[in-house]
Amino acid sequence: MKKITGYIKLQIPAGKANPSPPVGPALGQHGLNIMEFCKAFNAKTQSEGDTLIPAVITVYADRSFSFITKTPPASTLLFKALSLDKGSSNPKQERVATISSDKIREIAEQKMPDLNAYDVDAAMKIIMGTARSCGITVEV
Amino acid sequence: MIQQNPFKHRSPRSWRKFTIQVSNKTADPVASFLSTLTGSGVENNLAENGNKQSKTETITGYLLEDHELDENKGQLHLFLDQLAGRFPDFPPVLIKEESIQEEDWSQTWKTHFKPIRLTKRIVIKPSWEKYDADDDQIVIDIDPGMAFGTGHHASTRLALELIEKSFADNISPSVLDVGTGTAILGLACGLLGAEKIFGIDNDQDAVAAAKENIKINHLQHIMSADNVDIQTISEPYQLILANITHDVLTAMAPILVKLLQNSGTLILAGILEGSQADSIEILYKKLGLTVVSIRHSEEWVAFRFLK
Repeated sequence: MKKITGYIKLQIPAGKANPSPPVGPALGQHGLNIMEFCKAFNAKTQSEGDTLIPAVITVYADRSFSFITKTPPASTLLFKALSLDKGSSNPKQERVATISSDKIREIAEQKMPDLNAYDVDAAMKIIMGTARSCGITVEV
Repeated sequence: MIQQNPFKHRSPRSWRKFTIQVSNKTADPVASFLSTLTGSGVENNLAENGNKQSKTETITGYLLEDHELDENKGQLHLFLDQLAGRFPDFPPVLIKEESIQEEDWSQTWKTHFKPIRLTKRIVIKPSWEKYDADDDQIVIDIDPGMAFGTGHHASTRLALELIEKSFADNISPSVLDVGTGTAILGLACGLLGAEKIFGIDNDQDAVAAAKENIKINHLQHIMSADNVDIQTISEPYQLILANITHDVLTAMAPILVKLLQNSGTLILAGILEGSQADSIEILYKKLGLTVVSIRHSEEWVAFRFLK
């Protein structure tokens, strides 16, 4: 078994990895083949549109690597569900949209594999917290 | 020797690197907001505070130092201030802002790039390494610069295997290398006997790397590379190569088939096993091509079609 020397966590738009930052500096400092990662990441995520995709890269001592992709961040799924580009830059005062609890449940179910939650209700609470921090009002 | 300046066609760009310390409560919105500003994503890591159980992370994003920097920076500060107001116990904090110059970030990896035999006859070697070739071996010198194609990826290896087999069956005089990258596939064709090769790529860094590699391999008399739209090409080719991604190969299918001479060969790579490979096979067959061979390696598939 190969010795693991580190992990790199990136969030990159699907199908758009390239050697510019943040990919280049993050992988370059570990001596990884940047273009090989970009090729594999883009091939695996090309059908996801412009969605932000988290990738966790495992770095081995021989400078080889493997990676897994995770479900998009909750905020990305919230913006997508509401057809928004981004959240409020002033979430305390400015509400950018309202989302239904049904939509929150859908997102919670989608995010379940990557959330530290025992059930969907607990996952919904996490998603609602993210919604509020992005300036999105949750309709109960 | 490793190429020192991979940006010969333009000046290196400057980036402003922002490192923000966040709690797990604010990590998601900060990463998302910063990703929208950068357009290229972010890196996130556990903060180096020695506590493995820590819920603190750092999020790093890079903004181009251009005319929009001040406006983007203002938006970021406003966002962080307001989030801090909402989460006073776990405020996100901008802990570092620094200017960095674009560089060839694959330099470290390149020092470990050694000659590699990829097929029965084809050997890829970094331009700065020495290699004693056997009589029947073909050696391609590659300086990857900032482009795809060092031969270490399974899809490149599969494409080269199919090229080698295709030339063993019948030498193709004219070759179009679509998404040429380092020009590795086109160069292989040149060394195997092609008379005219044209490599195209929509990435200027790739075209610069391709031109450099054509020169290093002394193939300027038969191969050229340029940043042109495939739709502007009208001349048919005997052999067309495309090692790209499934979505691009799907969108380009009609033009690739149109540019292929009758009895010509099309080699496609960069396709994942399963639904991607299935849909490519169905699509190109529908457009009138016949599958000559299919190669698999790891999770990747490459096709050789005949018109």
